[in-house]
Amino acid sequence: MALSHAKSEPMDTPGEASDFDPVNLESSIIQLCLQFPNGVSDKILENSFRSVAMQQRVSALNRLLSLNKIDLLKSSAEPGTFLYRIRDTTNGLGSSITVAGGAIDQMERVVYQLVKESGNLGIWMRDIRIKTKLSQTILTKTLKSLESKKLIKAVKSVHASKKNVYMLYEMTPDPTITGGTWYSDHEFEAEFVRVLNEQCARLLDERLEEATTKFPNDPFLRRTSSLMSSVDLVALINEMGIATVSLTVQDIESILYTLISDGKVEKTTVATTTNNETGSRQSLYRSVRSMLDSSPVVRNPCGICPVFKDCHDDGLITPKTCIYLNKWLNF
Amino acid sequence: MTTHHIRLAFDLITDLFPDGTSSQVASYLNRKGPLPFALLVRDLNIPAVNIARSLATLAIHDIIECYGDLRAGAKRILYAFNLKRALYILHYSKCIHCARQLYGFDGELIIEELLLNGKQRMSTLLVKVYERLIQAGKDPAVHSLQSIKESFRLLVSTQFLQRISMKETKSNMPDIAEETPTNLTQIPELTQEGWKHLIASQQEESHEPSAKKFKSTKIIFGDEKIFWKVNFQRFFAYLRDQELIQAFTNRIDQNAGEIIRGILRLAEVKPNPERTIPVSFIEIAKTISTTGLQMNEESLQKYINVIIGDVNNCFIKTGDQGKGTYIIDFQKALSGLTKGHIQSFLKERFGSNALRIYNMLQERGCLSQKQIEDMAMINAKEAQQYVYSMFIDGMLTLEELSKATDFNPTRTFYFFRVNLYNGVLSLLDHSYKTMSNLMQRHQFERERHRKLIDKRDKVDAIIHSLREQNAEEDQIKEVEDILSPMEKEQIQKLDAAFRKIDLAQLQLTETILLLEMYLSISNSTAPVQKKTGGRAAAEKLLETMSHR
Repeated sequence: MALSHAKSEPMDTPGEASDFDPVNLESSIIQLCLQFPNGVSDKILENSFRSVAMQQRVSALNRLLSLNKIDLLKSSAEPGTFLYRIRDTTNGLGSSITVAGGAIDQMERVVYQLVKESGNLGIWMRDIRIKTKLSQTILTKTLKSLESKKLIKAVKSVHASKKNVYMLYEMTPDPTITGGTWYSDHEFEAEFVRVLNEQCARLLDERLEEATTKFPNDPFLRRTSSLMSSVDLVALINEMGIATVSLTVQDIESILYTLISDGKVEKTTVATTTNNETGSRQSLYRSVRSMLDSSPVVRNPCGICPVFKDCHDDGLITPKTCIYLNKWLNF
Repeated sequence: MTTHHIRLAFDLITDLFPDGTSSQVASYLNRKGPLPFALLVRDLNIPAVNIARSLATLAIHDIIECYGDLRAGAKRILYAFNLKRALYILHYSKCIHCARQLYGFDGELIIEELLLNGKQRMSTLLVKVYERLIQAGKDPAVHSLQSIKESFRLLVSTQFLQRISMKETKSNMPDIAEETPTNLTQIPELTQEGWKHLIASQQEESHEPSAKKFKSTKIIFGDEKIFWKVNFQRFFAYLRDQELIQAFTNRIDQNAGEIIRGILRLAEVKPNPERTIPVSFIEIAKTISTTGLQMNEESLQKYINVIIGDVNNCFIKTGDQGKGTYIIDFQKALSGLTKGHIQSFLKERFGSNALRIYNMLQERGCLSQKQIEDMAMINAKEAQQYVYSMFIDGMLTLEELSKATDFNPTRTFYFFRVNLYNGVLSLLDHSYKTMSNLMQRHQFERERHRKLIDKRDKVDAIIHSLREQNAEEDQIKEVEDILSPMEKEQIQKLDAAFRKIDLAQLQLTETILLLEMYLSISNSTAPVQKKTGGRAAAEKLLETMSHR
């Protein structure tokens, strides 16, 4: 509604020319707008140019608007009034928008403004629609054209794959949207996690081996010297240069948690004198050996048989003719 | 009890009692519940004599139990099938192996005889074992009746054998009583007359291995009403201890395993399925020094400190007397060991990522699908697959928590949980089916190659007899050539396959035993309901949902 209002108002008074020098008035208005980068209200304009008739002022503003020198905005402080703001030409974006011109240009500008305000968190399409009150099809078109001009970009949120958020093209998205270290191109980097997991396990294993050879007769020292703190591990991993980004302690601790769940590592928490970000506690990790090599159940083909549930005394799948058993027994 | 248990039990009975009727009788009793003899005769299309014989054999083995019908005033005797006992047949080979390791040939044969015959008197047993030793070509000087009796005494004193006395109070049914602990370990003194007769028959038998003569003469040995049977619980406890020692050896080192062995041996004087008696540090140190382990008190203390925090914390310090008293909690130990088996099973069957999810759930109590995906650091789709396949296999349980009473899926939270008891049931079922499969395959191959095996046996017998007659090498070679090279190769293959199956079966019994023991111990002592914080987590989730 605001837009149609803004468009129709200047149209009411075209061509009512006067002997007042319009060019002079226009440059004065620009000067005034430059003084107030947040926008100039109608009232200020009225007070500044008392001598100028309202029609002349309006036509000057209309000219400036059509030349894209200034923007017409709806005031949020006082509803129903309008603000004139100098066009931001510093980043050179103004020129590219002006290429389109016309009504589409206006919509694009409003949308662009909203997207810009959202910063690196981005804005959801539905929120833009609610704020601008544009119809779905028009908004989609507008967003598309802005995207094609490389002014904004759509970023997929990791939390909801269907939810696209829009932000300025040059912005780096916030980690809450991209998912942080473990995501790239909005996909989970399973391979990266696996490599880190393996490297951590290797480092801890090496430490355990070292401790075993150093103290073959002292179980207690063997245990304590096989411990490694997460801080040490982070330093080592970062040194190795596996990751292009530098990993934080939290990152490595979540990797270590997967190792604990894998049953390869044990965690001990001890009190330390040095205060770090986690308080006066420090997490120590050590590699452990498993209780048994493998359960006897899985040492024969039946233990890991994919069709075990369908195996019966008789029929197509039966132990008598089972191909897995054949292979195992060398028949 | 599942179909796999039952199926396996009957396979085992058919294997052990190949008369054909036994398994039929047992299977009928299993289906119908306790029945009197008359009904069995009516329903089964088998001669009454055969049924009676089968019932008698099975009853001696405790596979069929008989008791007086309470409704009929204990006049009618009911026969009931004991499936659990039937499945003990699985562990026979382990028990025999165990006896051999501990008590040599004599012990092995004593246990084997008892396992094959159920219950026996000491006098008969001694003679039988002696006969078999002589037949096996052992030196009579080393293995005399006296030495066998000594092994028997040892087995009784360590409670591997159980004493049973029979009191014929009623006319129709003998009263079998397992004896009180006081005279449990007492060995009946054989009468002088009986012993003399035994010695005499011993000398006689070395020339003439027929025992018929001995049986015909009625001699009073003085142990007519005292029978002996294998104490399975004792054997199982021993096998469990071995597993525990192995676990500590794997986790820490050889010495730690030896220390655990020493502690378990100290606690053997008073066996208890739940925990050992308290053992003091001084006692442990004394036992360790007798085993020849080079270890001073300081390093022993260090080892004990390390052992305390391992294998599911089953080694517990209970007091400070005697430089510290310790017990081993078998419930904790068994749940630790079963966890190990389940984890290994999951790792091999579903992959290490599935194991990661399982362990995570075990630690955190209960998690929703979304939480699992985030914490496991696996692709969401993969994680889903793992969770669902484990759920289908009964390793995980699902908990539904609905906001409304209608359990509408959109307003319901689904949490996955680990229930060790259910997991063990599922793994046990899997193990039993695997066992049954292996047995079936073994049977099938034997039937399929029956001709070849028979031929080989014949050839072997001929060669054996030729050797005894000191025949020429050429002659033996000729007989050997009856089997073509193709056949020989096939026999070799077959033998290798049978060995493989046997080994797999033997190893599988270890798992089955452990899982069964875990189930029985967690049945007898109700597991403590662990507060997992599932409810709190759900409430928190609800809160955050309503804030949105």
